[in-house]
Amino acid sequence: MRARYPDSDGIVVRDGVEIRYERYGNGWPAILLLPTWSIVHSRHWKMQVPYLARHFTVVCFDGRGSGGSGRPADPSAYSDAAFALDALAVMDAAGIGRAVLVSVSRGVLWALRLCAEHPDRVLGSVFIAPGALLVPPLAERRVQRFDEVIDDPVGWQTYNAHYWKTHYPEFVTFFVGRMFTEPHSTKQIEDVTGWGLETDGETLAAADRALEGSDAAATRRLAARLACPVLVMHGTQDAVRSYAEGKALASGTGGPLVTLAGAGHFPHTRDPVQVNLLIKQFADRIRR
Amino acid sequence: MRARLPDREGVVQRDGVRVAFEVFGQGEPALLLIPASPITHARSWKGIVPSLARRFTVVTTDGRGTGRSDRPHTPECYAPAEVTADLLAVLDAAGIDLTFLVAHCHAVPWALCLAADHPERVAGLLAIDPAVAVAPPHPHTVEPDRRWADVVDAPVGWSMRNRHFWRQDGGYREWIEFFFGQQLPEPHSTKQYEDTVGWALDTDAEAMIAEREGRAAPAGREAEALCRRVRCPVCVLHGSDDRCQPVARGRRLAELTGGDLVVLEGAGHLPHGRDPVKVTRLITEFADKITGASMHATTWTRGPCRPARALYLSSPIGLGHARRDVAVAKELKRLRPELEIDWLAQHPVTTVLEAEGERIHPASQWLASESAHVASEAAGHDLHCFQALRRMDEILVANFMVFQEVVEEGRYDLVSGDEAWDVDYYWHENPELKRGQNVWLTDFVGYLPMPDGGEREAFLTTDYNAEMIEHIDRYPWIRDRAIFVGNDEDIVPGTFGGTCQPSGTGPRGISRTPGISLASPHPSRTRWRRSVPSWGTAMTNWSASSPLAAAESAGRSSTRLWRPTRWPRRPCPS
Repeated sequence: MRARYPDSDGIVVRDGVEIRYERYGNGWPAILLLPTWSIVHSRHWKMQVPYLARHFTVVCFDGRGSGGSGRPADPSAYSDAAFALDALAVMDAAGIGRAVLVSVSRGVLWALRLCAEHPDRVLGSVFIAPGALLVPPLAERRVQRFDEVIDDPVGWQTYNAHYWKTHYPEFVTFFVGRMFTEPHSTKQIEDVTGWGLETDGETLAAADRALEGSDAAATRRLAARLACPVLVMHGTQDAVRSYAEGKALASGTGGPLVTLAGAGHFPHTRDPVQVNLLIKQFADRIRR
Repeated sequence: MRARLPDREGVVQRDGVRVAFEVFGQGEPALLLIPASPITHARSWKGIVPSLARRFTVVTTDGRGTGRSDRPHTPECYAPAEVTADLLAVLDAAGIDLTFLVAHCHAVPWALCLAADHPERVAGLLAIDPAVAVAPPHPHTVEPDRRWADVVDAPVGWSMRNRHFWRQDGGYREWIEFFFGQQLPEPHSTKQYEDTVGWALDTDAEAMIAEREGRAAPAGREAEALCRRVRCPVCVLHGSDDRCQPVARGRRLAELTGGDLVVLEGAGHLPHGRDPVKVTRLITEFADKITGASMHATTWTRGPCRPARALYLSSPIGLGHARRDVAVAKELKRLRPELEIDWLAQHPVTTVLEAEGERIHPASQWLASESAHVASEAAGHDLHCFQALRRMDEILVANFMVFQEVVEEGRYDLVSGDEAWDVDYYWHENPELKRGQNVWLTDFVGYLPMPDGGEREAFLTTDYNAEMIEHIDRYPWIRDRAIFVGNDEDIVPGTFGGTCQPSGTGPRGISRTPGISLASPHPSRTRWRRSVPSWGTAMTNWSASSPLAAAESAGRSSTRLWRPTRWPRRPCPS
């Protein structure tokens, strides 16, 4: 059973792809919880929605390639622009003019794009564990070769399109293990693994290829255009996206950085109370 | 002794009237604190200035008619335009371009004028118990105010607010004593009462009459229009038991300005004096929200990742504390080697700590000196401990605010306070601020009146003891462990003030506990008769020849938990 069910939900079709969204609560301002990489769907916000919805209007949606949304096979369907336009389409369908954006990991790229290119729709932006490509990948990830055929890949080598065709569950298990470096995270690991297995290796590979067009310079240009209030939070024990990434985004956007000492890549699921309070505090400031 | 002296003092002069101001600190943004002069002056902010000045530039002014300002006796001198021009001149002289305004009672209309007419100078307005006529006044003030200029025979109560009565011998003083008795309905407000009466007597009846007749504050639609012209963020604090200004006025002011309203339940008309911790925090939050300072770079450490930490406070009054506390700390570290202990301490305790290689928290530098205060109290005559402690009120609240910041940022598991009177008092007054487990150590419990103190001091010590007992009775979870350091023979048999029966009726809302009577802070309105003449206290001089003996002694005593068993619980309000 969920702690809270949506007050309304729906499907918006954009560019031939169905996008499933949910809306909770009635408060002002609205908070748009953005999708991240399609390995998870909108349920990864389950620890935020019931609390935030008591104070704000909360809208979330399954990113294309995940959950109840469509799974286009063409990598071009997963561009940053596509996710950003999905977000606008969802806001329109849910009757939301302007919103505070909350994004995690790769979702940060889409939030940056919305902030920079659609400032009239954005009140502020909270970036969690950003994967905005501002700094080189973690040392242990440098063994990644996405399109090479690797015999018996181990560790981050399993981040590989060929491997995902045959051993997608093994990859999900590995990856989710790296997401949660905090001890005693079994429930979070089970949750995210389960969501990950709801999609498939081909879809995830298509979504991943779309990233190839992004780079540090593009992110920096977007970040420099931000005019809205910003908050960045990043865990020091993040083993997917380095803590330096959060620092770089904070300095690039001029926003404050909340260092989550001891936290991994998905602090909103592992340390929901602190993250909820930070989001609430941020949105309250917007509300004034 | 003041908890903090101004960094700069000055006087502005307009049309021959001199108005004094003081500047504290140099942080951004600036706060201009506007008192309801001339009935009070800049010192009325003493409980909040030292802690605010650590963050902000704080400007206080005495306002024309009192304090170190001139006292013109013509009503025209007190017109709103004159007062607001003074305030602008003060801001100019202090070099303040943009400021937050904090105004009390009838200073709020001046602040509204400033905010409406000079929006470029005002970043926000925090109004405390506003006297803004956007809702009806208290009924008990209507008839007396109608007869303000009439000759009234032998006025009592609010009818003493009368120009002829104020001109009579002793009339003004009698009014002031009545008025501030009304404004402090909170039990145990004797110090605030004495302070505010004293400040009110810094001016004279003629200045007060001139101000009252020249005030010309807008009312009704005019007042509403003024409120609507204010564009800056507004926050209104209003005591639910304010007998000067009805809460309806604060509520309406908040509505008209689109501001926030914070009702302080159980508070009277002087919350910045009686609840300085809460008011300081509300002012800080208000300014921080507007400037965005509350969203600065911070680190939050996951609970399981934090080292075990203790914050140790050791009273600087008497070096015996430092030695026994070092011994206790060493024993704690022996039992829990991973424990990190920080000390929030001041001279001369720090001398002992440095010699022992203990870790002194850097915020210790912000502590106002308790030992200097005691030395100043003892200068030239015998030290009167109880009165010295009472007069240390602004130092205690200033130091508590330092402590609270340290304990919130440091995420301490344990607070150990050896006669940390500030922590014990203000955590009971603001129980939601408690952090970590709290160990309270003390050499003595309760106050004894000095024989030469007379009935007044007997009343005061009873009142202080009663407040402490009510504190721990109501919030037993504030002290997780209360350790009396001493011996059985140190405890004087008796009571904490005996069974006092009040005669006559105190002001409405004064709570009474059977056995201990809590009356008006106004001594002349309530007569007290001690039915049990023996006064209880427990005092000892702690001494030890070695730190080891100290640890042993402290350890032995730790089984003695003091509980207020003699006093029945106060019945819950239905």
